[in-house]
This record gives sequence, structure tokens and C-alpha cells, in this order.
Amino acid sequence: MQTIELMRIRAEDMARRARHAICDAIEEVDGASFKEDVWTSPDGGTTYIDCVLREGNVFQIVAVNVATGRGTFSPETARAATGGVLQIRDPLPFTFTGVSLVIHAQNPMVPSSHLHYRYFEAGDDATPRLWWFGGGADLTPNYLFEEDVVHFHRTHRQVCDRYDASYYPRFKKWCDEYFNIVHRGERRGVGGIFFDNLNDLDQETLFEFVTDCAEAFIPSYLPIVLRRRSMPFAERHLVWKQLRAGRYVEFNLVYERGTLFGLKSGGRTASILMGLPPQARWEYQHLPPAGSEEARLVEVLRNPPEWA
Amino acid sequence: MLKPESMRLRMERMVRETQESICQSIEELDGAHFRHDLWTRPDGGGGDSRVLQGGNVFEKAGVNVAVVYGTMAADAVRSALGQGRSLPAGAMAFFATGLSVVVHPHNPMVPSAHANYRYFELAGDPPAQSWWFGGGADLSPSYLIREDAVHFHRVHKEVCDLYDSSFYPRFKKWCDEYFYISHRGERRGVGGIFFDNLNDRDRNQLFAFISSCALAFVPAYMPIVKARKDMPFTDIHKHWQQIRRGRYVEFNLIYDRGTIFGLKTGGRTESILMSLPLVGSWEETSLPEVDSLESRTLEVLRHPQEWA
Repeated sequence: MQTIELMRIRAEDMARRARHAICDAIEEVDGASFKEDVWTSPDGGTTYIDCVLREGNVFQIVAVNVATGRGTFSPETARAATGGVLQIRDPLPFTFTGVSLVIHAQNPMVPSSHLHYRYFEAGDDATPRLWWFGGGADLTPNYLFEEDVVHFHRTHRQVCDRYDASYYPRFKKWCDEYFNIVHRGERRGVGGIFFDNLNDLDQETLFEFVTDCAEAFIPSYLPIVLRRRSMPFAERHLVWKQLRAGRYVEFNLVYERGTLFGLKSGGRTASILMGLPPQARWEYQHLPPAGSEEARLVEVLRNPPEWA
Repeated sequence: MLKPESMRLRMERMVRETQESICQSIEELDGAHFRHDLWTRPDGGGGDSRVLQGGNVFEKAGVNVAVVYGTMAADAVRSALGQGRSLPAGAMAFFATGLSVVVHPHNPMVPSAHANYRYFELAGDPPAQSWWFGGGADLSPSYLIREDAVHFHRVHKEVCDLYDSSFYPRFKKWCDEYFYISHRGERRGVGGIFFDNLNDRDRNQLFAFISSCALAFVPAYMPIVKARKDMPFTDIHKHWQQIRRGRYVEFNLIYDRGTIFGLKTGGRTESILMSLPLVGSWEETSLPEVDSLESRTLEVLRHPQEWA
């Protein structure tokens, strides 16, 4: 009993520490500062700490969010929140805590990135408790630099391999499947890792795994930013970046479980949509010419390769 | 004896003629030309998508005709209808034809406009066998100019009143409800008319009604474009327009039945997403100032008014 209570608190502490570490590292690279906004839902159930850096020197927007709260699953929301894994007949109380992050950079050669790690507990003293971890991190480039993608995947793979050799292959595939924009036949980006409803190892080990994943983000991503942030680019690269941002919006608004669940269950719109790109573009039948840099990217979004 | 022409053919001819006349009047005003894209649907039927991008007056305009038929699962039929209708299990033969118009002008003082008119038939034994009309037209200003909203509504009210004095009040209210972005507490625009599953009277009469509605689009909208297209504006106005267009994207991708239905049943993505604006922005740095033009527009989107 005591240890389960404790995990909720430890996971929240982990989320807050990850947020601080990430914000500090981003500020150091960018020079601009985050603004913090703390908000509690009217019923007092959920607290959001939103940290946003807008229009920085390197980044267009970096949104880091720590949310901790509780609620009650209905059969429908349980199904929606867990992708069908949690099937219940009676309302089930739950608590959650997690950190999420979305980054869009100024230079179109710098990929966008996203991360989320969270811990869920469902049930109360009268019903058996369930718990699980979920999360992942992924990379969304506008232009493909293979060494960047390999670096991002390899860094995450190293963490996975320390826990279970099956994790990286499974979570890499899961990521490619999750971020599929079905109506385009493209993934949102070049992936990374994604997992949900993870409780197949003991809780302590999984907590360490998720903590290590969160810590891996900075070394997996910032070296890429440093390599690409001063690369020259032209107007046409910015237009392509906006077109890719349009796809990003399509994924988040049409398919992303967390976004739809949040919006339709009365979550805080500003926090939920904080990660949308600043500018997105839709042109009718825009097809990059064969052999172009843009077409090379689309090819790997259609047929995800192995990177690490 | 001459067999009366089928409603399918009459409706198809009507939407094709309307497409032609709307495109003509847009081209006349703009100077640029529509690109025509004829496409076929592998499972039956096809369409004629016309797009004008980067014109002199219009940033993006799409006028699309689709004539599609085949079989669809009862589930898909139900979700297309958006309400409970008793249907047999299994696949049903269907026929649908419709016109959709979306116009996004450059000048932020010119509202965007949308219209859609469609006819649907389901084959099978009664009560499954059925037909109905659906559609409407609505206006989405970034800056509210009252007389424009009044004009747009008045033209549509006049058409409605020719057929049934209950139509306009019902369809105006339905429009305000349909285009509600619930996570924002705002409508997409200042509305117009919207109706669906319309089959409660003689089919010829309803066909005459919907034909009159479709004809009303040009006189309801083009005078507004002419009056506002040369109004001066600044970057601030353009930015607000893009924020409003971000909301437009949110509505279409999250709530619009036709869009979601189309994307999830393997419709033609480019034709379905033709409705999205060229650029949408989520770069909201602060709320509009009290009593600014922006906040006055928002006020009306939050609390729809009677216009005609």
C-alpha cells in the first residue's frame, strides 16, 4: 500500500525534475527564457504547470507541461485513454502524473521533437489497483539528415537495451504505427520510441526505465540542434517546413489519442493545444519533385527504415 | 411515355452547373484561373476538384463536385448521418452527389465562406431505402463587419422563406450548433444555414429548394468580397486572420462530420482537405484587447446573434 502511494509521488517528482532539466538545457542553448503558468482545474482535481518559450533565438516554441491529477474513467474514456486495453463496466477512479514536451525550431533544418512520459494508477482501496507507465520520444524533421536520426534512435536504444532487449524493437515499431497519418500514408516523423500500458516488469524497474528515458532526451536531441541551428536556408525551405507543420496538425487533431481525449473530456484547451506548430500550411496536391531533398524525406515517412 | 428524369441525374446536373457558375464568378473577380482535376473513385464514381491557389483576391478557393456510389457498411452510413437511424446490419448500396465550396481570401477584412449541397440515396428494402438532402452555407469573418453578416443571412433567409417560413430559423440555429468548436467555446464563424436528413416533404420541392440555395451563394457572398477586397490592412490583421484560420482547421479536423467520415473511409484526401486554409496559425501570444475589433468578433462567435 505504502509503496504504491509512494510511486505516484515519485513519478510526479520525476516529471518535475525532467521538466527542470529540459528547460534549463533549452534556455542555455536559446538564450530566451521560459514563462511558467500554473493552473488548477475548477474541480481541483488536476494541476498543470505549463512552461512555454516562444520566439526564441533558436526555437519557435518549446512547450513543457507537467500535469498531475485524478479523474474517473467511464467505460468509454477508459477505452479511449488506453487504446482499448482497459475494459471496465463500472466507473473507475484514476490518478496520473506526467511530463510532456513539444519543440519547434526556427531553422527548418532543425527537426521538431516531442516527448511524454507518464504514470497511471486506477482503482481505489475497494477495487484492485492497476498501474502502468506510458510514453516515448520522437523526432520530426523537415529535411532528412540520416546521422541525426541515427543518433536520436541510438541514444534511446541504448536506454532500452539496458532493461530488455525486446524493448527498442517493439517500441520503435509501436512509434511508427502510432504516428501514422493514415489518410496520407505517411508517419508524422522519423519516430523514436513509444509505449503504453507498460507494466510487464516490476514497478521499480519500470520507474527507473522511464526515468532514464526522460533523461536521455537532452543528449538525444540537443546535439542535433547544435549541428543544424546555423545552417543556411531559403524561403522555399520555410514553405516546406510549414507544409510539414500542416501534417503535424493533421496528426494531432485527427488521430492523437491524448489530444482528442483531453479536448472532448473538458481538459484545458490552451495546455492541450500548446504543442501545435506556430504556422501550418495546406496547398492542394503539393508533391515534391522526384529526387529532391523533400521527396527523400517523404520516402522515409512512407516506409520507415531501421535506424539503430 | 417519357420517363421522368431521376433525381440522381437532376441533382448531379445542378451541382455541376453551380460549380461552373461559382468558378466563373470567382475567376472574373480574381483574374486567376481554377485548376481542374478530374478523379475517379476506385469503388465507383468520381469527381471534379477545382482549386485556385495564390490568386489576386483569393488565397485559396476550392469548388468540388463528387458523384460517388457503391456499397458502404451500415456503421459508416450511421456515422455519415451523425444520428441514430434504424439500419439493417451489413453493407448497403448508396449514391451520393454534392457540391462543396470553400473560399479563403487574402484580405483579412474579407470573410471566408463555405457552402455544401448534397443528395444521398440508400438502396434496400423499406425502411432502409431512403433519400435525403443536406447542406448549407456559412460565413467566417476574421473581422466582423455587421452589414456583411446581415447581407449573407438575409439572402439565405429570402430563399428559405420562399419554401417554408420555419426553414430559416431552424437552419440558422442548426448552423450555429453545427459549427461549434466546443473546446474553444466559439463558433467557426457567424453562421448562415445548415440542414441535414431533409426528406420531410415532396422530393421535387426539396430539390427546388436546394437548387435555389446553391444559386444564392454568389449573390450572398460575392458582393461582400467586392466591397472589402481593397480595404487597407496591416500585419496585425493578417496575423489575426491566420489565428482564426487555425480555429477553422481545428473545427474541420476535429468536429466536421464530412471531413472525418471522408478521411476515415478512404476518401480522396486532397479533395477532402481542400477546405483547409493556406496558412493557419497557433501563435497566440496574448488575448485580444478589450473592445478591440478582434475581441468584438470573438464576442459574436461566442454568442451568436440574430442577423435577419
